[in-house]
Amino acid sequence: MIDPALLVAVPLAGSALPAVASRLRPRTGWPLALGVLLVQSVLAVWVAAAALAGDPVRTQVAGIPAPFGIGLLVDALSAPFVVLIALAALAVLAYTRRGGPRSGAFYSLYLLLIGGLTGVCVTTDVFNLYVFLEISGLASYGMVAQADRGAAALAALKYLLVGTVGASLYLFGVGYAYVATGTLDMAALRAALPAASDPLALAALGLMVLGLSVKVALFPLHTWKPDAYEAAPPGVAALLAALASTVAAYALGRLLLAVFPGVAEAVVDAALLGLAAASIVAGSLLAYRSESVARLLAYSSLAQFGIVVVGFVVATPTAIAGSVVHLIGHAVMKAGSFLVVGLLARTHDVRTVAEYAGLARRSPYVSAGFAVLALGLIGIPPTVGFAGKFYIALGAIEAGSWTAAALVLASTLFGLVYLGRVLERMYVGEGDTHAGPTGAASPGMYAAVAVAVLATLALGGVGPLVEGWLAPVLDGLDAGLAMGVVP
Amino acid sequence: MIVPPAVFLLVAAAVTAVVPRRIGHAAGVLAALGALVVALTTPLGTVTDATLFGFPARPVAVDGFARVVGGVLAFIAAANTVYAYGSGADRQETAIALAYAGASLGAVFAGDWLTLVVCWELMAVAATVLVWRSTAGRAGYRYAVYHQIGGALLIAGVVAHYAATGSFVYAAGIATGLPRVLATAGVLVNVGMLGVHVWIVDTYPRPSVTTSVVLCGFTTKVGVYTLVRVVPGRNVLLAYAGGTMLLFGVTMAILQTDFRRLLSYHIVSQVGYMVAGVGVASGLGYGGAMAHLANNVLYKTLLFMIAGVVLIETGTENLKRLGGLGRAMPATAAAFAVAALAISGIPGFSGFVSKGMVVDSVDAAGLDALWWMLLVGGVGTVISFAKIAYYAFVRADQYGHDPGRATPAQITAMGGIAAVVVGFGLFPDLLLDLLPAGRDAAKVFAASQFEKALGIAAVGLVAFAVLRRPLKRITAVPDLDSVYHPAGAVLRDSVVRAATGVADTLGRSRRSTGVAIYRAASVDVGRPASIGRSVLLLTLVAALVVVFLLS
Amino acid sequence: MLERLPYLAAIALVGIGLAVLVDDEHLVKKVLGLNVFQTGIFLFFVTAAAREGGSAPNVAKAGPYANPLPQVLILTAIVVGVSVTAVALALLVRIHAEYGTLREDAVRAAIEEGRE
Repeated sequence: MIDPALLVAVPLAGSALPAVASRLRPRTGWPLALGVLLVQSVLAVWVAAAALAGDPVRTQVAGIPAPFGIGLLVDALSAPFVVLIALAALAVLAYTRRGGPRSGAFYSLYLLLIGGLTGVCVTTDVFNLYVFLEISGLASYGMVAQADRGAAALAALKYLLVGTVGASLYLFGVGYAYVATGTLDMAALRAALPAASDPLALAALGLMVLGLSVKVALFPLHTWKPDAYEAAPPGVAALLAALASTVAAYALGRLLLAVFPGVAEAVVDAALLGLAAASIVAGSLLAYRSESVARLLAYSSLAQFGIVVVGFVVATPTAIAGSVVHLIGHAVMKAGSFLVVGLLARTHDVRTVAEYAGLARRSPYVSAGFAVLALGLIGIPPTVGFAGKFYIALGAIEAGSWTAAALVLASTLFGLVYLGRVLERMYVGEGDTHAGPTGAASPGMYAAVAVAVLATLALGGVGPLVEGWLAPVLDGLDAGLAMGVVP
Repeated sequence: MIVPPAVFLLVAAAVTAVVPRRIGHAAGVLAALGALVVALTTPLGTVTDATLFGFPARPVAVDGFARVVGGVLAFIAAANTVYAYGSGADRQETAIALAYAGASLGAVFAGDWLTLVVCWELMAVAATVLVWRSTAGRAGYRYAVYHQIGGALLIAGVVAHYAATGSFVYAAGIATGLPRVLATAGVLVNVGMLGVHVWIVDTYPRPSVTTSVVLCGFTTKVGVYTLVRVVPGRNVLLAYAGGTMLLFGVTMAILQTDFRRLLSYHIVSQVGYMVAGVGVASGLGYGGAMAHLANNVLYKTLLFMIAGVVLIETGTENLKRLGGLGRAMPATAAAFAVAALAISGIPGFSGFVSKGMVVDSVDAAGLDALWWMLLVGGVGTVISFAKIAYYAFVRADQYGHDPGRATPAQITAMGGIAAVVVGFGLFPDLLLDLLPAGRDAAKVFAASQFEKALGIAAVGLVAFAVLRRPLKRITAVPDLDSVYHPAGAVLRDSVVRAATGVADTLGRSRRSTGVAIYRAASVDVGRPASIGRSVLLLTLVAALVVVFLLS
Repeated sequence: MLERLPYLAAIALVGIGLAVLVDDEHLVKKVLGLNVFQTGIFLFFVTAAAREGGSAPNVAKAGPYANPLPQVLILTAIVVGVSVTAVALALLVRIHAEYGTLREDAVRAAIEEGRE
């Protein structure tokens, strides 16, 4: 059995390599990153397979038992994300070989990000989660700033300041949780919280959820996102779109399901549903107003994460499975879309919705790929985008929450309006159809897009599988046992 | 275990997209005929059970209704492919058309709501792509919006049905109450119910000839068919809604001068007959509705094919600018005669039989007012087709058209359909034997049927003779789309503007706490929010959280 | 009242930090504001660990001790905070090199000018 600590240790330790090695010999960063990520992927798949086949895989760092030590855990809720992080990192790495940036420092940040994100997924300690959140945050601030344009530095600084304030609020909440219970282990917290004095538990809950909402980028805490994704190099935008908010949303879901159920549930549900609704509506509106396609996609993420939050709020097994499926599916589709945006910017020098006019004739295959990804984001069957939304809607109706169901269904309509606008331009817009290509793209870039498109179609049937995996975990959470602590 | 008919067409679609045009079209025809054979030879009651998205599902279930509707749609897909070959459609268009037909067959043979929903959405996507490929302007976008709304409502209904009953497999319709209301509303969008019929007349007259031929047969008919699944049982309101569709459609049709727009309004009116039959819900009503559905698919497709040939050969589809085609294009004119007589319900042609069944079912149900509506609608149908016949084919050409003849493939397609139309007219048992219900109650060649049909035809012809001159003075007639579409655009733009613009305006005025909050709320309008504004927003939300949780 | 004082100080630091972040156009001051803000949170943590009459948790001496765990955590958080500050300052160096100013409004104006 592999120690899950390796999942975090390998990329973190490996992150030193590219920066050092590229000083000694140029152009060694990419192969080193590739090597580390291959090892990471094998480990991730291995551990996830073990966790899904049998019991959750867990470890206590340095052998100190919970609730004092730091626990790491790969169960059916975290396993899909561990694998997603490793595989998405590999696919985007294929893109960056030519798509750049290619400095050694960049690949060090890349591995640091992967290590941090994996850490967020596997830790069972709420303070440890803060540390990993900041490690991944630091790496992403640095990666956004790798773009050539000066605007990228400002966007990165904005991301840094807003992101750090968010993370600090989370830390504030952790402080309250510690004061209230004397522990930071998730399972122990859950056992102790209902007994804790109410205002402290409430403050902990409110601040932790708020801090993570900044990282998830729910409206109106999203302002860092469009700037960062628009200014970042395309590969970085794709990687962050696939993983950064996804992992934060996972952490939010984990907290809601594993730590805080029972604490002021009605109030929290109402508030989160309100945030989610605002995200869905405002995200769609802002996406509709966007001229830049990258910005449009960033705003679309607001709406999509709103849907995910709806699933976590509804919190029936079906809805939770739907949220997990939608997180994975959205990661694949949104990353693929950003890769297409980068690819088209490179080959045809187009960035705005207006410039996309007539692209389907100039670049039919890439356009068709984008169309599939967009249909997935809208939620047309049989794509994975449909599967996730369908499960969330089904869970909502099972739970009798018609507001939630209506939100999810309305979101598909909004999606059609803002993404249909792009597709319409691409397919029927009168564009400059004779302009030749302005640059070449590498096979790796096309391959990364193709993988995303195929995954969008192939993952459509994954819903029942995820639901089956999650069932024992959710039962375990309800029994308060999943974290290895008997209350 | 059978190969689902839809699979034939979906595979053919994939093949057609890549192989040379001639081979691809041949493959499409063969696949459609294969689907036809499977549809007609599979024993009733055959079902295939499977798991879809993790739920027990029934992707294929063959019953009498599915057999008739599936069979005729498969046949028409073959004819469409032949016509497309003869009309210069490229292989991509035919591939998408085949996928659209395949999705329709999938929906018809579906035995559970999940399969239906998937096929429903695939139909919408394929049809949208078809429209989008060949129309300028925003018609494709509007088509997508209408059908996405309908699809979302249907999905909501289906999901709610599952929550209520715990099963997706077809049983006695969608669970009553909210689930049924939602699903019915969704299906009625596709049916083209009065009020939401605008997408039909907005979309079908615009695209390329071959595209409108493909579109006219499937979406509304699958809608009517699904309506039977969703709301089984007598529904007088629905029956009268059908009668109203009929009268509205036929009245608007008489006022049109554009060939395909006139035919599009006749889709509304003909679907009205079917909806009336479905609402009556007796054996005769269902049988009549399904028989009329089958017949309508045949002659309506034929009419769109004729309109296409006329447009291709003369360059216009404005009836006021046509004439003399009876002599110039004899084969096309003959086909038109068959189709027009069929849709007008003249004895010896297919429409006579099925229209008679629907009218009789209404009579038997005691819905007198509806019965009169159907008869008046019949008169209107005669008037509008007399109008086409007179302007396009009978009167002398004043515009110097020199149309060529239809191509052999076009004539093959039109001739094949015309033969079936006449065949079903002369030997109605061919069709009625396939029906699960209404066969015995149908008084096909009773004397009363002849009297009614000939009376309607006579009144219609006289009415056209009287109305021809007054009708000339009418030019454009507004429909609801002249309200919906500007209103939709205004609504969309004003929501966008209101949500983002008000705050923007306020933000420009002098600074105070209130304005600062408004400014903060106007994130990202025009230009990205500054760092300070972002942190302010965060602080405000944090303050809200603290107040909200601790109060 | 006196034992509540550190909490009030923490809240004040958080407020001051946020105010600077929101209201000062100078980017260096924004980074400073972030540091002040974080310091407030650190203070809150450490205060929570204190005990009246408690000494440093040196087990050779007699108790009572202050709770060592929050102090360890805050040590980690301070390290994280220092790293964030370092990255922020690196970004500032780049912004200054590119635009010659460290005022956010001026940088934004320069970016928009570059776009047109």
